[in-house]
Amino acid sequence: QPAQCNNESLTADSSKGMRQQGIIQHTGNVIFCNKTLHLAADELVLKQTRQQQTYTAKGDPVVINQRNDSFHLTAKSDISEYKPQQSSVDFSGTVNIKLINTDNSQTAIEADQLIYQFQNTDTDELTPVYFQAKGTPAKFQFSRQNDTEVIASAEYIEYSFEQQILTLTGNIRFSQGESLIKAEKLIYNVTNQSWEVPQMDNQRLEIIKKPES
Amino acid sequence: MAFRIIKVRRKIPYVFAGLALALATWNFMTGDEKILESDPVPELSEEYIMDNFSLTQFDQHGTPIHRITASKARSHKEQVILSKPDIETRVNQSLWQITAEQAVAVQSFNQLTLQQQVKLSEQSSVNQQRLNLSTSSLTYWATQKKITSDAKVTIQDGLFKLSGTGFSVDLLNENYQIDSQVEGSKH
Repeated sequence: QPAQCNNESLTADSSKGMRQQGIIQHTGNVIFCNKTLHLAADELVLKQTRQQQTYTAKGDPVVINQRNDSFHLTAKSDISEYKPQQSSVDFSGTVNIKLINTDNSQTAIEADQLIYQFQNTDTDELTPVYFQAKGTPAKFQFSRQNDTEVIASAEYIEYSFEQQILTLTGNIRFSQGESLIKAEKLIYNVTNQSWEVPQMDNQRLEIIKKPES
Repeated sequence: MAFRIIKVRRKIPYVFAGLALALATWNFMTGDEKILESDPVPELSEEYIMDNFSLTQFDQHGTPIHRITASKARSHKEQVILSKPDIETRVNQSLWQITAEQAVAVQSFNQLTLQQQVKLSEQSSVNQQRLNLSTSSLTYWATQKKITSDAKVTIQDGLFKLSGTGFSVDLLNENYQIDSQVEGSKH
């Protein structure tokens, strides 16, 4: 099982250092891990400036794993850009992310681009903060034991773990149980399973109730 | 008449003895020369030994290529063997230094193969991250400002430590390449 590691380490087939550009490029079977994540890719480029380091990975796909006692995240994409100082990863190109919580809830997103923000609190506790996804459309799926599954798609999807709020914008299709909602903007509260369509000019709201089978 | 014949007969052994002696002396004389021919008198075979060797080479524009010092330099045929060599070369804004236990210089110091505890370091006035490299052997190509090796290597590039097998360094562009089996860590 790919997992983080205490001391940042890496293996690769070959590496190239370009000191004038502050770049170290690792190529071929790249495995990288640190306290925050485990990454497998075909190529990993570390770009160092005085203020920041950026790890840009390319792969078919790039696979990132992040776990601790309360969750396990698996993300696949063509490209990922990890910024340790900002505790964030930007994914692009066929993004597929799945997060499983210990309460067996599962959040999954498919998108063209996705920003994953997490937090390394002082206690080294790794905590997901939010997803911001964009797609044509981006797709969202949430399931939890004893709850009705939520399946949604929209041009923009934002999911806040802290507030447990899903915000959908643009060409929305939101399906929960028997109902299907089409709108331009929708906010869904995962905790109490309620949704809201805020007032918007010229917004067309359509609620389709499927007959109870 | 008979008397004369006897006299002559008596002298024959002496004649032979004299001839034998002359022949032996001749052999002795010429024999040595043969020995000498197979082992000619050692001419000056251009082998010199210098202590506290120091050399600075310049290119056609008068720009220093490198400065090479060594505790001992011993020339042998087309090579110069250096003990505790220390090579310094400045390329653009970087000062590169290579040290080792031993080096073999050929082509008028254009190519040096360094062996045993080889250390390379780069001090760049632009790039604050110092570069340190250690290996068992490498070849320094002066005019091409390049370093190549098949040996195992460890490179400390700022916070990152990389190790692998086979490497090259391009002094001009400040690039390095590790060819295979790369392992890295952050310190």
